[in-house]
Amino acid sequence: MRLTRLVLAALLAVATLPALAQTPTAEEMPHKPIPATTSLTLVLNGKSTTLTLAQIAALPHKSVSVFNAHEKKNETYSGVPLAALLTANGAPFNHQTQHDMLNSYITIKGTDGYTVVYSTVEVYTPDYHTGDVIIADTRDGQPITTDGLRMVSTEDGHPMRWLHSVTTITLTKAGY
Amino acid sequence: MRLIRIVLATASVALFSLPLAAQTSPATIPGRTVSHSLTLVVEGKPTVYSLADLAALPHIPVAVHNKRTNTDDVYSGVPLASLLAAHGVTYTGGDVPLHKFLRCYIVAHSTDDYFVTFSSAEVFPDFHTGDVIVADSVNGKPIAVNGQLELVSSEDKRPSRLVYSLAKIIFLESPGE
Repeated sequence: MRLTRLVLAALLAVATLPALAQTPTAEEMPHKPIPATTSLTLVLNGKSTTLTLAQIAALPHKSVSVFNAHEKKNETYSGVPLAALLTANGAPFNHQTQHDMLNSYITIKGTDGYTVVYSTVEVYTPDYHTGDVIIADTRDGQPITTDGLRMVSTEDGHPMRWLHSVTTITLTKAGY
Repeated sequence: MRLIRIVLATASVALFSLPLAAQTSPATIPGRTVSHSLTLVVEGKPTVYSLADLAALPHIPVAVHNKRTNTDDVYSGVPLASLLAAHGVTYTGGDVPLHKFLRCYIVAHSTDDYFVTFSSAEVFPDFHTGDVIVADSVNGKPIAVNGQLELVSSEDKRPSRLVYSLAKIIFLESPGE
């Protein structure tokens, strides 16, 4: 009888493990494989532009070294600075556009629909904010085949906004 | 040693009494209205903080170079993350689920309709480098000419989001896209 109780207790403990694993403990968010990016669409000030991975690969790149708290290792990503991508496709951040840019924010969407928000100021590095925010296509010298494109922000200690398989970037006016 | 204690005590009294002085005689530059309180809106629910309410909360210093005035300033204020956390907004298991938190943003308004946006993640110093504070003193003195309350972000290289006469902060969810 006592043994039965012990077995039941053990089973109960095992049954609760998945629930514990799903508790959002910051960077340990599970990442299920999702379709890799095939193209990137920028929706900026009413204009939509779609770039292929080859077009993105041909743009000037920047390398950033980060500690990935999810993978618990140092990584070097290379990619296109998001500020350069936005500036070249209809959303420059300068004295003339500053008011509208400060009133807006940026959403980054993955191929699975998962969406995260960045402010405009924090991605217009290095002019407006410290750090680097890039759309990366290589990691440690190799193409990121699982993602195609990945968002990387050096100032985020938690990689929860390092979105996998980035497919759409939208500049949106804030509500208020 | 005793002299140091006296000096520190005097300095502390002087510093703590400064916000009160600011409430009684806020000087402003022409055309700038003064903020007398901060309204924080989370999930549509407003909470009003008086200057005294804010002064009573734990403060941290933030040093910035202000390109508008070409000065190095040290502000003191309440971390915006602390104010949000008090209303259930965190990325570590608050009332707002994590996936929603990452889709949210913050709008900070001055008394004169100037407003700027922050992402929710960037105002939490354990998540994103730097500090974002609701400041009520600068260089040891009350914020007088800039409307008593200012929003200050340590990682911004330009003062565009240095919101003078800060009056309202709204936590909002992006509709998607």
